[in-house]
Amino acid sequence: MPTLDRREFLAGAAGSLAALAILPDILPAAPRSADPLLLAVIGAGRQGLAAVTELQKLDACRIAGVCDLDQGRIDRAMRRLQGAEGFTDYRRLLDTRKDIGGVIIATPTHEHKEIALAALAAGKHVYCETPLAHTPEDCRAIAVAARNAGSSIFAAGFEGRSNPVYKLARSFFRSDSVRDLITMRAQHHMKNSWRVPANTPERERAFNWRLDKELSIGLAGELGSHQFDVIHWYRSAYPAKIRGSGGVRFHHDGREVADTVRVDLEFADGVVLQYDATLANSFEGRYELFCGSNASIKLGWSHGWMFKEADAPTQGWEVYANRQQFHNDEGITLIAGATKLAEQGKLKEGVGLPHSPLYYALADFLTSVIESQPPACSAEEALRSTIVGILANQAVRTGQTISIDDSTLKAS
Amino acid sequence: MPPADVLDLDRAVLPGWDGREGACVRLGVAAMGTRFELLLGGEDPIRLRGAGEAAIDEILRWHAMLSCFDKGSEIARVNEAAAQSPVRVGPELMRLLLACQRAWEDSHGAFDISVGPLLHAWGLREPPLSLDEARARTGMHQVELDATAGTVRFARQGVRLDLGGVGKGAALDSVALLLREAGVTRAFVHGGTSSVLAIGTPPDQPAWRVRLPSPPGLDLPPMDVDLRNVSLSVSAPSGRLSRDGRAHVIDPRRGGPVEGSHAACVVAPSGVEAEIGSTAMLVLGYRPRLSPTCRTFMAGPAAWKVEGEDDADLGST
Repeated sequence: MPTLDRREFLAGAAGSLAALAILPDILPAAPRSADPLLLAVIGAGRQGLAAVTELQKLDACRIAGVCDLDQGRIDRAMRRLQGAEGFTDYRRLLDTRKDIGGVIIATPTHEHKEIALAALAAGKHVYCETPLAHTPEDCRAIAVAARNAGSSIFAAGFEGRSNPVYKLARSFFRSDSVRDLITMRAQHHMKNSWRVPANTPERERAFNWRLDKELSIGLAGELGSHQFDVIHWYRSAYPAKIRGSGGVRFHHDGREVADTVRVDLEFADGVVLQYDATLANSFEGRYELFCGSNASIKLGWSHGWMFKEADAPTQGWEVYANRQQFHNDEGITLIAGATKLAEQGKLKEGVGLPHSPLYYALADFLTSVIESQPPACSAEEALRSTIVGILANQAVRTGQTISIDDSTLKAS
Repeated sequence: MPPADVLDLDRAVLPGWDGREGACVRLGVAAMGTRFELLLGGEDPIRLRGAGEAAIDEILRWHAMLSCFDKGSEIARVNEAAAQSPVRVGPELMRLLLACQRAWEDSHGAFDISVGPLLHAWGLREPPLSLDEARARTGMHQVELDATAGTVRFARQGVRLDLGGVGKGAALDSVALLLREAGVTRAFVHGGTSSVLAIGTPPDQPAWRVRLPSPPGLDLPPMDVDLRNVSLSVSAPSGRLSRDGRAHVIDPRRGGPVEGSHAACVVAPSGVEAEIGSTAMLVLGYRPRLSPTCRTFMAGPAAWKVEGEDDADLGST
């Protein structure tokens, strides 16, 4: 672990005082605002509709517009909304609805740049799904525009940074709980074709951009970048070398985008993240794992655990912590708001997140807008993790080792 | 909870179609306390799989909306906070709640999504609750739905809404729309075999045929039911066991178990109507007020009582 983090730990914790004392104690309160912020969701596919669902739980905003090139998708979104206006052109939305304060961009990745730049130019706050874009050039254009956007907030959708379980586990990680980091592993396994149904050939092509070799940044980019961002955020470091491989192992339907990939991200200190993703098997789903000389931390989206080495020092709070058995290993459940729940005798009820990670990311976006605070994930941070994802996809496609230097991950 | 195997799916449905003609894609997902299975037919297995996966996402979305165990679900938020102040819900949940309230009125209280407290009182759920308290907490008259504001409010503490079977029906209605939009013309989808959506027919067959077995304790011949562009729901007490190990259906009107009801099945234009119908019929013991195109099947001591159209193709739902 870098020395900076040890200092951070020593400054933050008084001796062996329970680590919980320095941890975020409660789940974040939902943002509040006297007048709900009017939002538009641009892109009403899977991710856009998920945003619609989560935004409706947040009283600080109201969805006033939905935009998609496809009328059928607009109709589907409208069935789930009250009082929203549908648009098939985002420019008309930006031109005519001056009352809309912010937009959620959930279009295909390669369309982010054009819409993000137009929305920022129109003075809107922007929440942009990630990966940020499909090329480093587009990423840089977005980051520059976000930097020059004045009072408009630009938040990128790497949700890990808003996830209460991930934030809690990060405070353990950065206060030296794992001690010397030995290795890291992450995966995203699912049984899914990645194919989106459509009833015309044009729509079929447009909807299935993730399977289009020219536009898609593959599993390493579309899925991996989210998990790489968690690693980058935890470590405050970026890989120096990327190796990759992959192919079509299961979905033999003519696709050229690999359905199974393997990537190694090697950091300057020699620690390697072993990453794999597949669309052919769902075993163990999605997780990130940090293995250190004192403990391992496993993050599984809505849950987090710590596995202690037998010779690691015990901390007071572990005595009443909630535990879960995984074959031969016992995991201490990392629960957001554990101290408060323990006082109420409700520790078990706190296991797992009450909402989806997207909810917390959107709630953070609203809080940033209402309180003029920096976003949980800035455009520059998103640029770095996205470019790592794009390069990882290149490594998968070419089989070559890719080196990353300081300039690769700079915004300009 | 519906019984696990009211419908004899593998013996009744699948032999009708082994995928020799055109493509046949079979997918499954665990959701809403049961397992959903999808059987999709057509020309192109690649597109069918994509459509089936989108349908699974849709089922999971309804699960996330209606799960009583998921603290972030819309219904959990309503149950937790609606006694203190009105809770805003999305239009889909509001439409479903309005339909349930209408059904409660139409069935004179036999169909009641607020029956939960009584299940605790009769030992069908933990923790136990006194019968008087459970009776006081039950009844849709205590649920105020403001369709204009999109809010739900409870008149008293302790009211709990549980969409159970009708939630599965709503999910299947949503799936029907999605599959039709994706151009799927042949599909059989079921949740736990007690909620069924049938789109089109298997190739060269007049309908999807399912078989209702005799309810436990009766010796009825199995009842074959043909389905084409309709939804089906079966309700039976055999899935609900109380502390004494006996199966019960609770009559929300009287606050106690129903005697003598074995199984009720409704075939209707929509899943929501089928679920409401079968639940109400099991409690009432006779065919409730339903649209005329509905077919109903009621297990009696000696025979199935069948009412409604013989072979209605109800068209696109």
